[in-house]
Amino acid sequence: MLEFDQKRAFSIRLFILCSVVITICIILSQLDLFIEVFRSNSALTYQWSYNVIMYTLTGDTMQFVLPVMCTLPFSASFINEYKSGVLRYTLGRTTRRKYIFSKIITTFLSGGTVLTVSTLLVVLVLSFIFVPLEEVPIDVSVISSFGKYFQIIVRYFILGSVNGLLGLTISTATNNRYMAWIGPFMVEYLLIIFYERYFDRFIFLYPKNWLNLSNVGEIGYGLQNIWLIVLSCSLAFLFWKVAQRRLEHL
Amino acid sequence: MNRIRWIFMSTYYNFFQWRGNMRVVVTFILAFILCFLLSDKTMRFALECETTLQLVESFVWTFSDSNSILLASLLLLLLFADMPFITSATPFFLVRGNRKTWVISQLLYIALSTAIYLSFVLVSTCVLCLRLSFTKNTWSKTAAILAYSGEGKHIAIPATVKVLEMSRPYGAMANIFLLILLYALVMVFIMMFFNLLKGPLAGVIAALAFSAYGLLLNPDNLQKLFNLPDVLYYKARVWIGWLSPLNHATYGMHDFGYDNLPTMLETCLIFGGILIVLVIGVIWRMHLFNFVFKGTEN
Repeated sequence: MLEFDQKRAFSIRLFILCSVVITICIILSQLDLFIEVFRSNSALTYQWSYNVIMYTLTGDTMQFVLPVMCTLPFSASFINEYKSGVLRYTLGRTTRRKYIFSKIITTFLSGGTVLTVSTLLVVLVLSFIFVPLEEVPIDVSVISSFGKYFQIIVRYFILGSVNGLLGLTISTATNNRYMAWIGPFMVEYLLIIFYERYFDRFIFLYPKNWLNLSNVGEIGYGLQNIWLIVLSCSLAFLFWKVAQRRLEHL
Repeated sequence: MNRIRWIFMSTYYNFFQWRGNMRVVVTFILAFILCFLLSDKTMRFALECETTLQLVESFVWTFSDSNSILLASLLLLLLFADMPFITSATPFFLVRGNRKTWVISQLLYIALSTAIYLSFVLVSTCVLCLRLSFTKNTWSKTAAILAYSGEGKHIAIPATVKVLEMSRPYGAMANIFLLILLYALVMVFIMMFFNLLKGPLAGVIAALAFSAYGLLLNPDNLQKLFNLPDVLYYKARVWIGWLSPLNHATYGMHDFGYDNLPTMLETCLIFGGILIVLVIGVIWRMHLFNFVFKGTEN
């Protein structure tokens, strides 16, 4: 990964901004429930906060926000450099192969890391506020829910990477930086429409299932992760081809 | 004849700019997604009840709700984001014609684009529900269940008995299409007028203010705000039916023979009158408009 890509993709300000926005959106989606809890003053049942966190992280709000936020850090980087002319100076200092490879790796990591950080923030904030209000039985281990949290963080990392690469590829193919941010959102909803209205056999292309950690039909959690990694590799390859074509014009 | 030819050529040139324009592609894709999200309730209800839908019924129920009309019309702000459509060819059109001819061609372009966009919305809504649809011009069992059982109110689908009994599906669809078209045209022409008056930002703010005015002028909001009794609520509903453009655009808020609400003809005349005033305003303002040609479109 080229050093200047690394510095720009993981710039603290943008990261914090994206993570905080996702956290706020998710918390606001359940605001009515939280206000009711504070008004009632009664103790919460055991694992109430775990259930709310999992429901929120796999709900419609996340479905809406996820494809946009994970593309903000770095997905438009290639097309920005291509249009501004910085690319010519960069290519004088490195090879085309290294440059494209750096873009792929940086986008993969930045998209995934943004979602991972924001997921951790949501889990920490909600746990910190609501776990002390729960009635915890004496003989129960608190660590039991950590396994599911780890699973969802891994899934979010992969989804963030897929969406980041998708935005990078679409913006490069269409030569438009705004497509980096809106492209994954549109693709996701078009896939949802095609599955729900026309092609209900293609369950592996249904984005709502990608947020579902339980088995979907015969497809288990591990197999879904492998499928998403295959998707991200395909997108990386597609970007490689499209970027090479763009660079030929320079 | 020459002027009419120039108007059509300038309008055609504006449509030619749609080729490869990602903003136009994004607008239509987002419109398709919006149609899916708005028609989802109707479709799910039909699937749960295992009943069919008439081909245009989903469009009728979806766009009988004022909020759906508002959301669909707001996407036009994205489609017309480059208003007043000054391109590298504009100086040549102005030299060969005049300002009045040019602005009339822009208004014609806006009207045709809006009509194409709304036609796309209509076709999308029909295509999304094609799996359960039939084409005969009668209401489906889904419509009957929604209207007569009160399920429509429960799940917020505005299927009313008066619409079912006073019209047929294609007739209702045509009326609703006309109403939305007129509402959208008024909104976009307001945007054009203020764009010429004060700049692009003023145009967008004016369009949003127009939408907000329609949204906020709602009888339920007024009842909550002023604690109106039912008799006064009815009067407020009638007043707002006349004053609010969004209510004029809502099919169910019209007089079906026993209300003091506006009839379809009265709504068309009101919208038509506003459009004529806006067209005159735009042509007048064009005489004072300061063209700035930057030399590049990128």
